[in-house]
Amino acid sequence: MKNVRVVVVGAGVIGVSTAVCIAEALPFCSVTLLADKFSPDTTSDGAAGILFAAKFPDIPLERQKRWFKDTFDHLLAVAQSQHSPEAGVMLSSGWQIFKEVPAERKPFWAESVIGFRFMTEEELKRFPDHKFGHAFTTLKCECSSYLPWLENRFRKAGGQVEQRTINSLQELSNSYDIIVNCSGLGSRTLVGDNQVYPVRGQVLKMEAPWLQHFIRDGDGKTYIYPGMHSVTVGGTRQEDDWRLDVDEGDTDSILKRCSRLEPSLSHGKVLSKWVGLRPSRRNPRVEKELVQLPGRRVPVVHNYGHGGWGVTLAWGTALDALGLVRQCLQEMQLQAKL
Amino acid sequence: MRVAVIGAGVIGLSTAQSIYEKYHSIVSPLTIEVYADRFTPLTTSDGAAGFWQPYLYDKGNVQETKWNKETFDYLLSFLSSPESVQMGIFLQSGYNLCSEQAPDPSFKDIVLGFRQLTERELQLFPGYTYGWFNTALMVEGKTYLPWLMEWLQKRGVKFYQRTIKSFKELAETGADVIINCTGMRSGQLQPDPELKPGRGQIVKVDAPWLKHWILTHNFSTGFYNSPYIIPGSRLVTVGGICQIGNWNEQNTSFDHKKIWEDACQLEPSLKHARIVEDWTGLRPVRSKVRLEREAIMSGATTIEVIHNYGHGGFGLTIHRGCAEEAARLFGQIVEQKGKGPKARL
Repeated sequence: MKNVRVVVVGAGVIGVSTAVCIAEALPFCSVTLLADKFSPDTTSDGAAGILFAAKFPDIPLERQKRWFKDTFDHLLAVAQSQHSPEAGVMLSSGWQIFKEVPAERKPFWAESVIGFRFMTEEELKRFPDHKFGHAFTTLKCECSSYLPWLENRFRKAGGQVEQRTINSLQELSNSYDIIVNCSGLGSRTLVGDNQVYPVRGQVLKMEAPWLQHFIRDGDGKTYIYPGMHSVTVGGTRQEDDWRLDVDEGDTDSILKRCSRLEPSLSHGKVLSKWVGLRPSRRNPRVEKELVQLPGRRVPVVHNYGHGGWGVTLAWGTALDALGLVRQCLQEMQLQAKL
Repeated sequence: MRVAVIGAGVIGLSTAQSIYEKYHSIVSPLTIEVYADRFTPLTTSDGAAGFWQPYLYDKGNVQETKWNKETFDYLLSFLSSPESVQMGIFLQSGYNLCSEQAPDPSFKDIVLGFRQLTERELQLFPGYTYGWFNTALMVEGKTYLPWLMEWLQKRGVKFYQRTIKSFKELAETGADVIINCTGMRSGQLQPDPELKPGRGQIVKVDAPWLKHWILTHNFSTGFYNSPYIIPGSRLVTVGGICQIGNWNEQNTSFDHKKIWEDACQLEPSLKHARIVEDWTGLRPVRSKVRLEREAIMSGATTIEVIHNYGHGGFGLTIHRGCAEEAARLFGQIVEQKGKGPKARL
């Protein structure tokens, strides 16, 4: 089989993970990672990177479980290795608390995280507004370290990196045999998918080094995630909101809600504020299609629309995308024989 | 009444606090003085990691378990206030690892969320086949002691930097009650063959990706002679040495090497940690804590002494329970001397 040229568009956690999976598994492909933004300027860089999943309505549960499990196991191996600090991956224990007992007491990912159990009465006493909670150990993957580390792995596997802004897949059709689209929110314009929409999230990075546990409200809007060098506190979930600048009203609201959960935060120092637009979609799009571009039909593998669960699902969906690339290769081989 | 506390580690300062809290409105005037040659940050309490955890088994000493619980509950109550930061108190979870099955520790009902380790968690620690996970507290001496001193100073407690050579010395200056919180050096005031140093050396490193404490237990080598890694608010304490009978307060490179190699095996990511400093402290080890009154005859007078020393490697863990008990003993003396409220009638 002659050298197959693959391009992965987008260098957030989805793009870089997908590029590494392909480059490492398919040595006869030459893989290019192409994006306008790289770490530290991607959406992934601002995310706290705590592994939590949510249920998507239309994807078979088994597949979603596999996505979470594959990502978790991959990152756990990194956390346990001596690469942990350089890669920015660490174990993190804490609590997810609920004001009302949820319909589903045990989430589908309970077996994939470590030591999952329900919170005891004693533990809930610290949160008088909340009636129920989960206690477990998960992983935190800080993309500002993880993406450069992973990109290094990509280059070692022979991958090429190109910084470029593209406005349509046409611009790529002559240079590549397979296009892998990991452009997140950019897919709206790049492939014309108006089902992708932003969910604006604002976070603060605080200095509060005595905090060792994550605390997350089950509604996903209030959370405290201690990291390596700062604590990420947030947040907001503003649908269809494209504003990238910091909103001081949101800052105040975040500080108020988080201090209520963790009173010691009032002694914390705000180091920085950041806004990211979660590339949200009813379900992530992980599928392949043949796209008619001028002169040829190009196989395109899509891997975008992970919303606020990019880090959580990156490796698992990357492996799925790799599987789809393999299918494309098989189909191309068949074509060539005809 | 004049109370003289000897020792300004966590035991001395917290005992002064408990006595003040319970008796400053009952005994008037109540003068409390703290005498010590070492103050924070130079005490044994300052060097310790500040991790709340008693030895695994109390061996029937339910009194000590009760004092440990009182201390835990007391510290926990501050978490709902931002003051916890100024006291150096915060929660931390972690792993107690054994290489064989062992009975549940005496503190299982005191800590939060106590449970056995799952298979998957044990896979994270090759070589260990059994253990527990729970959430406990940290109380960092370097922050807690200054907080205690400020608390006491605000309330008129006076501090004197002096080496006290005898109880008599203080009695002669007019102290009514002497509280002996001299830890490791109690033997210099009154010989105690049961009190021995449990020398510990630790390495402080910068490894901010670690958020859990990891303690290993080797039932044949004795307590604290097995590697442990305890993250703090700024640095991580790495240790695993407890040499009974060794009075050497200097760091040795031999011990550093052993601690470091064992810890890196337990937690490979430590290889990338920046080593900041070594420290050596002498745990005031005793078969059990000496917390009792003693009336010492000196010529025609009786010197009232309350002993509160011998807390081994669990001084921070047990301090409040012991301080409250010492205050209770003080109350007995107050009654005896007729200085209590009844005396006013």
